[in-house]
Amino acid sequence: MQGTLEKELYRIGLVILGAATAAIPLFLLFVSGRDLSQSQCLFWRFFGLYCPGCGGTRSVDALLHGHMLQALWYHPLVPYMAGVYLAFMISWTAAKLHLFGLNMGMKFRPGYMYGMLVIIGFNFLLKNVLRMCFDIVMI
Amino acid sequence: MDERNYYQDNTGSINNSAPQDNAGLINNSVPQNNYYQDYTANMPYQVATQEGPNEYTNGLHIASLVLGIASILVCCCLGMGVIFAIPGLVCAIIGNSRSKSGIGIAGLICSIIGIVFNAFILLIFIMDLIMSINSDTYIWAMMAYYGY
Repeated sequence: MQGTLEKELYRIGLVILGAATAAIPLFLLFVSGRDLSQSQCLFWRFFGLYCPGCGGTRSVDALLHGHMLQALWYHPLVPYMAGVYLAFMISWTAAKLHLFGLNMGMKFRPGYMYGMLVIIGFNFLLKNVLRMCFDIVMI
Repeated sequence: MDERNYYQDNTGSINNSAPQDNAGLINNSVPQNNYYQDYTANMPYQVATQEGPNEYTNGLHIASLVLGIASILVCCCLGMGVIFAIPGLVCAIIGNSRSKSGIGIAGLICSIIGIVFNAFILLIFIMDLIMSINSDTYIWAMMAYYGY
């Protein structure tokens, strides 16, 4: 049953790849290159706090331009999800093509999703604590 | 060896073929009482718990949870999270129709919450656009700021 789950996830990953192929040029055309230094998030506007997703757009922009550390700085969830996705898809593609002697790719573990939630919570707390208590602005 | 075998029938009478004391011990001081009594009459029928054939996590459950969480994270960006919430809801519905899983239910809930949040914020954005089409309000100022 576990191999079935990975095969389903691989098919869904191919759909995501197709959607990203269409979305990334649009992102680079309409969003990338704009001045995103001033947050226009409604959560920030009404509560004066960074929302859990603040910095995501800048992180995607930095990642697409190859600035990994900058992407981690803006929002660590984006490079984390990109890393997990790429590792999964590359390993299963190599397994399907029987490259490097592989028969199976990366096994899916629920810990990846728990890690996602931990990163979101940690990022939200860290950014707001640094700003409110130490006046350090991360984004 | 002096064995003491107790046999108790339904009437409760005890029939023992050898002399006995109250403790029912046999000569080698090891207590061995052989009671035959049917204790199963009043016990409930117990089945070992196991997952049914339709209780497993499939890929659509995981996709729906990830998309639902992403839609909630992005909802503050003028409701753009709806592009994650709607596929997340579709994945949750299809995945839950195939099998049952806690992750599938969580994905369905997150997608619904994402749709509600994003619809609310989109509504605020559209109302602001309609009501202040000629004035320098927040939305128009933001669009001008980004160079549109």
